[in-house]
Amino acid sequence: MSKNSIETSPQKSQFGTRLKSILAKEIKSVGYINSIETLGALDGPGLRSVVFLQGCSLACKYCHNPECITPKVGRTYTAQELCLELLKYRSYWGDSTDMYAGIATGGITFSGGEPLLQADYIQQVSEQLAKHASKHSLARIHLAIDTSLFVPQFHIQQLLNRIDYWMVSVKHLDTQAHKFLTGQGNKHILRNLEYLDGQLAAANRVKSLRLRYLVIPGYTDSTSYAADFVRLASSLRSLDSIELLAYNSHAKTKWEMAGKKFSFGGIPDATRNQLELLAGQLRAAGLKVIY
Amino acid sequence: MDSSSKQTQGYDSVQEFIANNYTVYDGGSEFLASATPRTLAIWSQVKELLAQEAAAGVLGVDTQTPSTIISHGPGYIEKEKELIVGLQTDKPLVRAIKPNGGIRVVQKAAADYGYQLPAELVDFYSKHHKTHNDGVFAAYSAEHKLLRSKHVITGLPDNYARGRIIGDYRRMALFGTSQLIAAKQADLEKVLTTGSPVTAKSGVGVVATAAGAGTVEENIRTRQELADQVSALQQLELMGKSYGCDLTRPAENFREAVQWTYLAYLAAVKQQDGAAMSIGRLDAFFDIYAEKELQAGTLDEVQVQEIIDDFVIKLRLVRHLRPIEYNQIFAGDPIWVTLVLGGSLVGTDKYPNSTNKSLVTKTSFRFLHTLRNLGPSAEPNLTVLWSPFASQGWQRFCAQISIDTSSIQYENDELMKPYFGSDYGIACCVSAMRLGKDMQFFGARANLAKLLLLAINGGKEEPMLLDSDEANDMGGELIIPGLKELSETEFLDYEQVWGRLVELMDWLAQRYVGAMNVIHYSHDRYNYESLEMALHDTDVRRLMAFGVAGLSIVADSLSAIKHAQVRPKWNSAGVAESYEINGDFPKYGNDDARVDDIAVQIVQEFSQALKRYKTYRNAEHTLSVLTITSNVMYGKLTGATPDGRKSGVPFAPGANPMPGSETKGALAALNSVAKLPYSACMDGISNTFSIVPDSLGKDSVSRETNLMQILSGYFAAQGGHHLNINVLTPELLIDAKLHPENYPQLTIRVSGYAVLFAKLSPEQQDEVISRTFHTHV
Repeated sequence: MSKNSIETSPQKSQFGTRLKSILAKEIKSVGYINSIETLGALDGPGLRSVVFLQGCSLACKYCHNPECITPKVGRTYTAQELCLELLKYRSYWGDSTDMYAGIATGGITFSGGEPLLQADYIQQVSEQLAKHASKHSLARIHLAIDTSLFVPQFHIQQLLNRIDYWMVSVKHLDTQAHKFLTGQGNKHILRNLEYLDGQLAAANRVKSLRLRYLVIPGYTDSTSYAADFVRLASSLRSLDSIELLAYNSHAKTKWEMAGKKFSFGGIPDATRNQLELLAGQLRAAGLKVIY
Repeated sequence: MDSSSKQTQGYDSVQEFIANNYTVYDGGSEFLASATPRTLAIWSQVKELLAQEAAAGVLGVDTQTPSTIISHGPGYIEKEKELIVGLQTDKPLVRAIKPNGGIRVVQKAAADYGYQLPAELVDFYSKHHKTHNDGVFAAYSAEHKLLRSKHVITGLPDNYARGRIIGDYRRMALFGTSQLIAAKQADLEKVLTTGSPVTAKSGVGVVATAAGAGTVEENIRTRQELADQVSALQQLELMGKSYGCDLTRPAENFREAVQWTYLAYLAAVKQQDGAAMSIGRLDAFFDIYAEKELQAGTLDEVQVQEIIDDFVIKLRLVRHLRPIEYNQIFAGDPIWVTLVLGGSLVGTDKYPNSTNKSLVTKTSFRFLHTLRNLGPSAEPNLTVLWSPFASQGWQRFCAQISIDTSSIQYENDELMKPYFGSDYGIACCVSAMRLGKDMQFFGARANLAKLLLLAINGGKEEPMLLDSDEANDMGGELIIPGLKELSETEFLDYEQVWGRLVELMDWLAQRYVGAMNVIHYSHDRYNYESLEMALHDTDVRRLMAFGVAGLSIVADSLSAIKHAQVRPKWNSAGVAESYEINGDFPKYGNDDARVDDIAVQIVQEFSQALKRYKTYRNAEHTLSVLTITSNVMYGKLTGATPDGRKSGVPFAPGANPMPGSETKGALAALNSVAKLPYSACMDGISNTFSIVPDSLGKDSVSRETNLMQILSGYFAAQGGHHLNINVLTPELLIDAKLHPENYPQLTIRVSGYAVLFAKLSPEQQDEVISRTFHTHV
């Protein structure tokens, strides 16, 4: 995909300057939240409460949260309301001040949808959380984000110092395949990834980046991708780990529940073996892999 | 006057013995030893017997010999191979009869499995010997019987033995029967049959009346009970002799300490078939003997573990004869050999340096390790007293075993210590008692959902779905007379309904306390637990344990009435047959104060109502939020409720939210339950947590860590009381339902105990499968 393709994509107007300011103003007041999963053990380090934000800039054929795609629908929370809601689960996240020292620090994960589309709101939430922590002399709450990075770069910049742990879902390394799977090419995403990694590395924040990669049999599991992936991952200076996720067809039910047609049928679930195979190749290159 | 507590024989001294002699263990599980070939051989023999039992229902019934401590001669699995000996009857898994609770129920139980009691035995217990059951029904009022038959109060121990009394079986090992008998005899001599002025003596949070300071009648009762206790100890001594054990003296080594303790427990389960026959707290106590021998080199780790394994095999073999229908309230043939592990010391003037010192010893690990050496099991009911003062090594080991076996329950030590100190046990599921110092009058539970429907229906019974194919029962029978009509409104009015419910709680509390007084008067008189009480102080604190079922339904129903619009659909009998709900309402289980506060109010209100009514023997009122497995039966017998629940649908177990009502995930549900105040529910708040392994973390270390984090968050920060942990998938349970032969040892936690999944009824299995399994994709 050429540099231009992003400019000509349907998202162009959404990223246009005029609309951007309107959007920012509106988002400032409230966040659109699809749901909150208070017990998240799979979305970042430790035990986390996960906020699923509404709205996404990609249109992945296999999306596992199709109910989160439409922007600005569902329940709204002010930043303060969301903080109060999330802080109810603080005691389960663990931190260095409690008596269970030694347990991995959990916290909050912003997911979606594409959470960075509500970056202003997340910024407000993080400010509120920081205020709360300092008011009660508590350790800072660990924040993670689950993003595709298919957003304007300034949203990343905006949250760089707010988000402790960045989990970037790389859908595909081949831009055509990426476009097929998600409706968009990957150039913009890779540029953003390079930017994010550069900034994190410059701040000496090593191990604050995780790549998440969905293994879809027949689409993202070929051995040649592994080599590409190793190249990409090895170039990242802030990388902590690579997380392999197994494709499963549960998404179909969710699409149907959301009243949408699921066009990605007939793909077999990824097996443990397929994950292990890929993991082996990545590990051989000295990368930390979890799945 | 209380020699058994003031002198060396008392509870203080067991506690002191432990505090002064035990060795806390801060390390990990790496020291543990695997099962020996001897253990594996005997366990495989036992497994064979268990399989035969599973196929037949029971392996045998001795219908000839009413069980007492000395009714049966010594029994063995294979005498030469056993390290710890003793069976309830001559043969393993052969069940004895205990007709003192009621002859009819024993007759029925035997008949259910194709056995018949000898006519002369039935004749004797019907004509010449009054049973507990006879006593209760002679004294019950018409209202008591009505409330019972209408399932407003259910599961009362009025035709079976009450249980829930934990003898301090360690006293047997520490003192021997000679000292125990002498102390009890000394106590007996001090109780005057002329009575004496009442003096109040302060217990923990209660005023107990010192034995011997009562009325003439009370004192004579005390003397008779003490004489019975002495006699029970003498019988225990004889039973010990039949196994070649000289119980007159204290145990002298580790094996004897375990053996002596077990024989005392065995005597209890030979004498009584109470609903829950729990064993108390043994880990630090046994560990002192084990540690001494390990230091001296007279035993090694393999031998110590082997003795614990053999002891646990014996505990897995305890059986009672129950009618099949008993399964509805207590499914899966449970004994509740509840054994607590861990916990921590309370700092006292006596041990200022011991404040909060962990009570985890190597033997705590050894008991959990039996789930690996022998495989998962429902019994003993292993209960970890979760303490923030326990080592990471212990907490991680608990988490590991939970994830592997789903066989452990957890209870909050820091929450219970202020009420029960540091030497308490758990009877049944969640009932704490200071060992040898507290006893309980068990009282099952009231169906609060039904009470809510009575409030709405002007005291008349609600219509019920009898069977899916049949016409509905119209309801309308008057159960609570004299209620003024609620003013007619299209939608139910919250203030009116709540006010009426509070009024009915008081009405019910009076009858409930009354029925309990009758039951426990009769049980003391006709089926007294002389052996268990011989292993208590003479002057005990008595707790009267009431309970509620249907809490989540009542809270959700009231929330619907308050926050949405609920229109009852009245039938021709003038009672609501269903409810139409307009609008959304907050549901219990989402950490939402708008409804959780209602749940809190309900238990507080009912607890206060109960406390207004005088109890037998001045027992202290306590309350539990616990259903055991009767939540399925309660559901069946309760009509549609204003939360939208349909007639006949099972209740959630214990204090759990209703399945499907939790929209924010597991932690929100835990937080809601944790809000229920222990101060109002001192008999325990049961919560069952089920999670799919893959949702707990990516690898075994993170799963363990995350589970530890859930437990510490729930207990230390939220102040929750109890948590059953199941880590398994509904798919596995569905497969186990279809192919039970492939899952002979599949154990799951239900409300307050563990059960072999294969032993649940199909309906109970379906209910377990339909519960919320926390999962996250």
